Amino acid sequence: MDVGSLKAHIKTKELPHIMIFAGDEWQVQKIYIEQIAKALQLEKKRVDAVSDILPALRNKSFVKQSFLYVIRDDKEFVASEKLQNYVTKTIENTASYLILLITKLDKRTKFYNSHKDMIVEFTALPDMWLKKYIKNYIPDMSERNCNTFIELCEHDYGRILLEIDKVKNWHDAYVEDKEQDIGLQGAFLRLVTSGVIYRPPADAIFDLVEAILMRDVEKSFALLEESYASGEATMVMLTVLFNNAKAVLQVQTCTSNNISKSTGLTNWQIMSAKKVAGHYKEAELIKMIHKIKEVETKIKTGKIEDKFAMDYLLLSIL
Amino acid sequence: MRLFGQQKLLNNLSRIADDKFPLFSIIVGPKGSEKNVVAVMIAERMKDSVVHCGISIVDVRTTISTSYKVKMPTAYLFEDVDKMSNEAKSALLKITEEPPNRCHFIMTIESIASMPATIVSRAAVFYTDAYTKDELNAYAESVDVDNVVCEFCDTPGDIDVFKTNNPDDFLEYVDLVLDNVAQVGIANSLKIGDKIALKENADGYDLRLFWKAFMYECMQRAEEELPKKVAFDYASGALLTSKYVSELVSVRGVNRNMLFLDWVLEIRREWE
Repeated sequence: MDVGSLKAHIKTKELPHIMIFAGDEWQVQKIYIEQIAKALQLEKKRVDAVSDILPALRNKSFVKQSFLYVIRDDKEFVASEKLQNYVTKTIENTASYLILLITKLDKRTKFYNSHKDMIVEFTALPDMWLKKYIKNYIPDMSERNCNTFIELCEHDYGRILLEIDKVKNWHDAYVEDKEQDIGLQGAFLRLVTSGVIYRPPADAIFDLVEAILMRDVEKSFALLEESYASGEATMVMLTVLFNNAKAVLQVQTCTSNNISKSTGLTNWQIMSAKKVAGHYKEAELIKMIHKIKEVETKIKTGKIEDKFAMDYLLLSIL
Repeated sequence: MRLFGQQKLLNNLSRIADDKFPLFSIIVGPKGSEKNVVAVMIAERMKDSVVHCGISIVDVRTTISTSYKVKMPTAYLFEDVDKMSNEAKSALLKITEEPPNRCHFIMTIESIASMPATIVSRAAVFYTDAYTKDELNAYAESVDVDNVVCEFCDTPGDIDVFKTNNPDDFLEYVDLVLDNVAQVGIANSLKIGDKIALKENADGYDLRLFWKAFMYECMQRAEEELPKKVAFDYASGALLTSKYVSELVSVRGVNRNMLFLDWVLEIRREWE
């Protein structure tokens, strides 16, 4: 089911008893949940698991109350076909409705395939709409700053609303304190500069690899923390470091005038390697490559824990 | 279905009465050792319907739940399960503990080490036979490939892979690498991997076969050069390469690019 069909169902008040919402736009999902509750004239009730509502659904009393149940990420329900069939059969004989929210939808699973028609995916809103929403709250926001705002919030409508709230509150407090109005756009710019509006750590992995190859110990460990914080996988870090170390070794040891022909590297790879070359001797680069491979194998054979592997590697090579 | 070897394995299997054949069995053998053919032959002997199963967690769970409902004798074949995830392997424990009566579960695998001990202890494990020179020669002849390939191919599957890798060019490349890997500059030597398939389904020579051909060539040269010192260099090169072949086969999800580059640097260090 797409969002358009859901809107149509809400208008006609003919909704399926079980709906599944997936996708990142939780704020938009929240709006639709409110709309559905209003259309069905039901009270919204958030619970942890589908199994918690079964006794209420089975209750055949005439005076029982019906609800719009909202449940997020019930893994037991998603994994159990038996439970899914039972709940579907039971809830259809009641006046209650269930909205299941799934944070990360795996389209390879049997659950997705058998419930495709019930799933409404709330994908990221187009930038055009996001700009419109931003300008609703900050009318004097320039086009350029709108784009920056959208990038900083990673195109997430929910985050945009939260950051707008931050901007407004800061602006009001500033005006009260300084008796000077810098406007909401001015407030936004000040908050970005001072880091109060969170800037996602983009490309931390490439900065990390650069820091390691330039032998900047402090920066390497700081960027390692940042890479872990942004969810980068150890294996990805190892692979990127390995490929770059190999390129640096090739560029550093190449005696030919035509480095590209000699090494098979592209001009961009050669340029990137030259930028960080010279901080390690040939033997040290070879040792680094051996160490990376050793760590990678040890992770895969369970001889070293993933979370310590990069620290161990950095201590060995820096 | 014709087998080019595995007579000893088949004889051993034929000694087990049909009604006593284990409900859960694992056939272990290197790539191309016809273990999947043996698995199908077992199923046909039991007069089971044969179901080839996927190895994803969803496929395993579906197979398990279906197996408890079927009424006719069925053999569920899980082929080449080295790549099966740990979650899928754990899911298999259920059928090893309470296997449904009318079903046989047969898994084929390259390395028993990649199977959890809990599953292995509940299965009947059969190992494929090593192929004799005569068997490999017979297969090479049947597919019109030079018999020299039998010196470094261990299985009919290896011979098939060798055949698809332009054989003459392949052997020439092995010689070229052997002659030059320690002679050229590092930057140049790191390009050797460009002609090797270092990723799944990539174009290039099969890595394991390349190394095995390299080892064979090293030993040939070692024999020719005895008693000179260089003979020992060739022998040490073969020994070093064998460790990498072993790692390639035994470590699940090994990064071939890293492994190969590591080998290049080590061979250079060994032969400097």
